[in-house]
Amino acid sequence: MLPGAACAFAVLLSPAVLPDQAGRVLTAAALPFGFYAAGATARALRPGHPVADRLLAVGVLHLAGIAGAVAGARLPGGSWPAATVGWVSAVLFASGFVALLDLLARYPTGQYAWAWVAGPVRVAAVATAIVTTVAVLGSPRIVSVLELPTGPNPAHLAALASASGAFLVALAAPLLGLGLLLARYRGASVLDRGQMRWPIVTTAVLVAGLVSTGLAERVLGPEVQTALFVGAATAVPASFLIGLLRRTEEADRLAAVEESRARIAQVAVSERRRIERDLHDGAQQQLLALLARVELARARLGEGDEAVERELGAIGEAIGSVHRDLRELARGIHPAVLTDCGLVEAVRSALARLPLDTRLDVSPDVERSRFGEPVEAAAYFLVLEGVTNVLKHADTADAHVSITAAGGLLTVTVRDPGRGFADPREPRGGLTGLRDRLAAAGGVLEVTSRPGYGTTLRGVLPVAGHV
Amino acid sequence: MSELRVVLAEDSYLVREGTRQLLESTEEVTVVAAVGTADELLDAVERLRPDAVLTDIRMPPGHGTEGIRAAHAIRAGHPGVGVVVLSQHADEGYALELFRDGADGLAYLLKERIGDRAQLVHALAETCRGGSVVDPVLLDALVGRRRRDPSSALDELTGRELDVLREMAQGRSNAAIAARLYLSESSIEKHIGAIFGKLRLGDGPELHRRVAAVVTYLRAAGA
Repeated sequence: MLPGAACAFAVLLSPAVLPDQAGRVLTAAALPFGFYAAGATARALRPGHPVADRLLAVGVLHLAGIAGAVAGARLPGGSWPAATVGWVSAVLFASGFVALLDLLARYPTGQYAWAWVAGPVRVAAVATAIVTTVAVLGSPRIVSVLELPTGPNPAHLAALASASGAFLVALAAPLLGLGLLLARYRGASVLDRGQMRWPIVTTAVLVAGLVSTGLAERVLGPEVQTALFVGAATAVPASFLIGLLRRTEEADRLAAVEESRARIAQVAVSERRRIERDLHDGAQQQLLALLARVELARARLGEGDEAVERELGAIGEAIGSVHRDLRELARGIHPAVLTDCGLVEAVRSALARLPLDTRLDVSPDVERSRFGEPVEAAAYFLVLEGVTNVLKHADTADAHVSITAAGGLLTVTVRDPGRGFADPREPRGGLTGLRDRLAAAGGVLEVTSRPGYGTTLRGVLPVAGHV
Repeated sequence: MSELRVVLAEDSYLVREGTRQLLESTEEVTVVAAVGTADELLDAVERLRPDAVLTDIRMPPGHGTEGIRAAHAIRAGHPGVGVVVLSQHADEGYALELFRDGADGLAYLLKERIGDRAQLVHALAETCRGGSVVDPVLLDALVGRRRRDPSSALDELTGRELDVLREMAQGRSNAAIAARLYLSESSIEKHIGAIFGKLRLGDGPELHRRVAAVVTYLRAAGA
């Protein structure tokens, strides 16, 4: 931050230092000023974000390069100090392009899209320093990144004369970065893509401008070219800054939505469990107490009162039947076995109750694992809904249920070889409810079906930290 | 036969009192304590050394499977005390958890058996003798489950032998099984011999082998 400010100050002094070249210096500094300002703003608003640091780095390195060029022009022509300053400023300026490459490679998350990108970026940094040094040594005059008039190069090596144009290689860095950004865009989420579009366009314009500077100057004239360049210069860093700010805002908002959804899912499951417990502790216990009283009355009944005994027996049966109904009702609201014994046991128990020939495959790491209430409930009701649908619609007694976990994801599948249906995306009552239930637990439901080829329900739920 | 001394554990007052009166009305059972939590149950067993315990599965503070944990603790500390667990859950998972380390002296009955005092007393007496009893509803579910898990040692048993095993799981004597299946006692003995053979339960006291057969049955069903 501070070295950048010092360099910016030095550049701003250029009209006093180099009155005849002030316009050229300030035009060249427009882009670095833009990056510096955007980087400083980003650092203030999103401290610690790698993209903010890279924005600032591009600005500082280019401003330092330009300040060096200004300083070099004031040193005695052809002297060693002037040559050294020229070399340093050239290396700094070229490194600015590598910082731009790193920025493009890290945008928008701050991390590389692929771990291997770190290698090429490091190679580019080293190669740029070497190539720039070679070009500096090969140049017959002292190098100035602003192409200001300079004296003869005391360090000139005639053998490297042919490499004096190698500077242009530094321009390959942003081109490579643009390529990486485009590649990342292809696989990016909708959210990320929204943040990437504008920076891609502005960077493409800038890269095209850098590559075709000479041509544009000849065709459009130096004034128009300069105006275009300064315009692009403000647009590029601005697009990155805005993208960065919007991204973190959207991400924060999404995270808040996810959190509240998870909370709602937890509350819903707890509420159902509470209702189940109320039924158990209330109505069910009352019925059982009644049952005991009826049995006691029957036991105390004297001999010979067969009609009353039969009646009491019938009452007892009826109470037992109501009690069983209540038990099934409570189980439909929230199966206690899910809370007490876990997902797999609850699924086994549910399948044992259905007149279906269900095969159940459970991966060993799932067998005794617990996954948290909302996930277990969502997975359980997926199996229940799936096998119930097989029973009702599929016209087959075959079903295959599998529960597996891998890579922090729990996958629950219900497959049948039955009738199937035409449009799996068409909303269906039960499946819509199920989709919502899975979404609330952070998961997704996939339905595939084709007439004559059966149906597959597949739910995928995040269980990181549980398996 | 002398009266069975029983400790009763049930958190609902109405059910606890109803069950207590019902058990005492049989004159085969004396309820020496009626408590409301698993901790009080363990304490009462420690103090009173009953013959058997009748406990609810779901009790304060967790309202989960406190009854099963108490049953394991009682069987570990006092192997002579039979434990009958009463449960509202018709899920096999609970029974399998109860019989995790063996079925000796344990019974799992659905709570609506409160309406059948003869069955309650039978289960208490059976567990007190070291036998085990499983509610018929659970057994049917376990057999259904066995069919879905094809790799079972029980596959070698014939349908009739499975019937006999199921009756054994309820703690019935050979004579009672014969009566229920309309077979002679001698053919029941033959079936039981075949079951022991197929399950490789060699020699040993008859009672232990019967229990082992039941445990094998439950294990296989739950595997």
